[in-house]
Amino acid sequence: MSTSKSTILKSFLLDALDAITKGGIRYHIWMATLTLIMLFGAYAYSIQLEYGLQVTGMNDHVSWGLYISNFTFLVGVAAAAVMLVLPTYILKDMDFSKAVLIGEGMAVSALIMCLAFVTVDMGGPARLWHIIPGIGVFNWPQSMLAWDVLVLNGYLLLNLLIPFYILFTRYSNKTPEKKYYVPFVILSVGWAFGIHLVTAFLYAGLIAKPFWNSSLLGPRFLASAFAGGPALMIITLGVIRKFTIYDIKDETINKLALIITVAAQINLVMLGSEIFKEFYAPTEHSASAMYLFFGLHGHNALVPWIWTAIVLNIIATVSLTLHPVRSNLNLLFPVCGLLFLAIWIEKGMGLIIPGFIPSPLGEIVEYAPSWVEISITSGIWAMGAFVFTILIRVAIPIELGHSRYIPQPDDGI
Amino acid sequence: MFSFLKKILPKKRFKQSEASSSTESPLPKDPDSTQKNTGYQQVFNQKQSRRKAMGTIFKGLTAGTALASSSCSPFMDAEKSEEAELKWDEYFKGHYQLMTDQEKEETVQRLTRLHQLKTQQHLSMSFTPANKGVLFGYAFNISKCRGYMDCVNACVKENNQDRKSKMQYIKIFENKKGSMGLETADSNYFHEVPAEGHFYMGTQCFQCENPPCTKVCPVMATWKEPDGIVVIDYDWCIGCRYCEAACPYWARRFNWGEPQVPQEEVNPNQHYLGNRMRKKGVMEKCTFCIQRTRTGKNPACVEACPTGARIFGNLLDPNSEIRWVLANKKVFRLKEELGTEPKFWYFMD
Amino acid sequence: MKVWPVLLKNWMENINRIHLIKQMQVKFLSFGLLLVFLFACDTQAPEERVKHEPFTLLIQKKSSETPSGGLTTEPYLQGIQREKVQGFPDRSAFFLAERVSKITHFPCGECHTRMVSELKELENSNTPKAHWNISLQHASKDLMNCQTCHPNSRMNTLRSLQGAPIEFNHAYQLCAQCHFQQARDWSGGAHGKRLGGWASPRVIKNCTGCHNAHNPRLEKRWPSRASSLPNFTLE
Repeated sequence: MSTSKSTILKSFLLDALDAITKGGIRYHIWMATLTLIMLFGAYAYSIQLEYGLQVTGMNDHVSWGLYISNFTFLVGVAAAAVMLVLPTYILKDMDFSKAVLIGEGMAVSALIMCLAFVTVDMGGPARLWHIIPGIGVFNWPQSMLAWDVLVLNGYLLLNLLIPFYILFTRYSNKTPEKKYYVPFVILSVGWAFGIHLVTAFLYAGLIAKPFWNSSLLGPRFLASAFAGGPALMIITLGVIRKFTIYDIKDETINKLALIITVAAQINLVMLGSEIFKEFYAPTEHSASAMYLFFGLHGHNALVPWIWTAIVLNIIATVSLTLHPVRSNLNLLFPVCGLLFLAIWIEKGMGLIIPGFIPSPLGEIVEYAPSWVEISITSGIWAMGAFVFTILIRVAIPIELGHSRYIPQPDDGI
Repeated sequence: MFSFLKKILPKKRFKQSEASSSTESPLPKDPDSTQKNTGYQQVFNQKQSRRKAMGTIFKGLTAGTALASSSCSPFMDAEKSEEAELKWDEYFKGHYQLMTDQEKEETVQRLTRLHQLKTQQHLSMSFTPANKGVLFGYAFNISKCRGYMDCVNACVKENNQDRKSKMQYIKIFENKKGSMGLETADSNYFHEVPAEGHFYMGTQCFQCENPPCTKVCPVMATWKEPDGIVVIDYDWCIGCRYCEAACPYWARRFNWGEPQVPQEEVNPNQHYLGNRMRKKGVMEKCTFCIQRTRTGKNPACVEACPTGARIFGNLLDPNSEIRWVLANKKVFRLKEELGTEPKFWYFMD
Repeated sequence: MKVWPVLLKNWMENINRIHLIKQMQVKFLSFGLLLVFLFACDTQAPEERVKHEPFTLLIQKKSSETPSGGLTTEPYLQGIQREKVQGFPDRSAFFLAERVSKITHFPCGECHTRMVSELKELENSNTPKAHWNISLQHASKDLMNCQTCHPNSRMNTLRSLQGAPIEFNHAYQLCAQCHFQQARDWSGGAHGKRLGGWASPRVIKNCTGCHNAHNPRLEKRWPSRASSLPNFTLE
């Protein structure tokens, strides 16, 4: 007799719990550190809930700061999972197949981080139910934030359900049926482009901010996402190769590195295009770019940051272009780290903050994050890493065939 | 699938710019009325009563537990449980534009009672709808403004703005003669005015006819009223500050902390969409003193200006002062190329 | 060699086929374009073609049946006596706050029974004095003196440049002689101060409501407060 799905599910969850809680000393230290950072972030969030957002460095002039910067960057990381899914399912390149689930796991963690950043940035999180269509009011299709809510949650659902289906069927000693999941996978490829374009349109649609109101912002977001996200992927794949017996082939990493190289080159070309537009014949609309790259009227807090980001970006892109560097895994990982850091600076603080400086009426008020913001941000990053670790700990044994449902004699009765 | 979607999404979009009558609306009427309900009304009535039912159940639970604990504890009194009940009702109420007049009356009563419980002060809060045939417009005479900031003073007092963060809806810029651009202007002057060789310009919310801020709100907590005023439902705002980023004139303000107004300075003549007390985490802005202008008065800034630099009136009245200014003076607006159609014109003598 | 004619025949047939197809395509395309041009060409009159009119011009064509929205400012004008303003026929009826009742020493004729020069001789006597130290800071000595506006023989009124009497309540008629630009602006609403509210009736201050006629220039002063920049502190 066949055992019921709920019994298998129960066993699946118990085995998953096992995989998460059992591990070596290094694993436990890793999870404990993350938990500590998350707890401190939670404490900082409680302070923010009590006193309001005045405990952050934001104000009426710079009304979005560290939280939205990280949100913007992480949507790109989430979209980058498509760079593994696309070759596997559409181009049928099997070199990527083993890394796909890990990519989708990274997308899930990045999306959870995005949702967390948006929630902590809210002035009234208890009223978030106002956005639910039906019981609240959902301003779709006019508001780009409404679009973003739809596409992000949809993408999260896709990236949760598809791997869950695959893992659960494998766990149940069956083969996942292509006709069930491949259409959704194809959907998720287009959807990944969608989430990042919609997030870019959030900014590009604001006529009040000439720094963002350009047609290049959407494509720029895509290029930087497909450079920065897979860079993180490569590093995590390296970590997985080192600490588990899950075998990621060299070809996967090399092909991924190639994708990153092309995306990083396109990113630099777009950066050049932006710099030309702003500085060839500067107008008042270039004031934000002037502030970012050179400082404005003595205010230059962001200048060292952006130039560091650009230098690191150029170093990383040039290194990646050179085949000897790209194929040398000892150099590839640090270079990917540099690229990730550079894009994080450039797309996070280097995009959001200058949009507000100078204000629409020409005033300059600079921004620096407070300890509350930094703690909460670190807490959310730690949460993302935590979630990702959990997902990988559950997925890998199933993928390796070690974790399977073993029917007990008393099942199904 | 489509019928499911139809149930979720409202059939009629909120009309953002209607000079049509404010009393007649396609939104649901009192559920007890004998009029046949449209499908839209059925959906929304159904949804509201479900939410109401939930609220009532929990209200009963709260009252029950309050009663139980008050009978057990000597510290919990009737006032605290009443306050808890009022706050519960306030939390679960719906969007202002979807409320019936009865519900608006109820929420105004709850808010005034809550204020009374906290401060023993009586308020007179109204929810006067837009008057028929009125579209408000504003004109600012740059030749006459001398930088006195009397308007800012009056505005802060009239609209119960947060004293701690020194919130000011109005900003006055001092600019050197020779440049009109605000890029070179200074808003942080404090010396004898008017300074030689300088002129003064004030900004505030310009109540655009094509507002970029109302477009971006994910929950439609801000919209344009039929008389042209862009308003915010403070209890519906979730505090995402997208509208603040979208405004090209830096007109919107956010309550980064709990707003504080000394009790003796609280203006008790309030409007639900105007100068009632806000809370932390919500947006606010100039509403052309909606609590005053919907009764025929001028906004506080117009009233306070000693030089008569501020002119206000009904754009639909051909004999109004604002219409005379538009017809006879060389007027301009800020950032006209953006297409926001602000209803705030500048001119010179 | 025989293959060449066959190939040529095939090629010609193909060309014909292609030619036919291309002919059809060309016909189809031109017909489509014709339709497009027919419908695209604007047959409207030029005036109707203006789709987007600037709001400032558009709003000036509008008129409302309830210009005051059904409101009135009467409740806010309690205690203000008003007089209808004369002399501006192209403005609809508007009023000013009357001043005469607020002048402390009106009617002036009670003291000004003699020439001012004679009154000034009483400087050191014990007769009560009023506005003794008015000094004229208005235009220059060549342009104005006291008699420019105050007729010696008829001190209860003012005088026009030609000597015609002007009531104190309608002093704007005097000011308008030189300050016609400001007077025109005042009649329209671009100069001066509105009392009560925006709704009708329109009651405004007269010139002397804001300006001291003997020293009309507004003095410099300090602002009543400074602008605020973000300066948050944690509680």
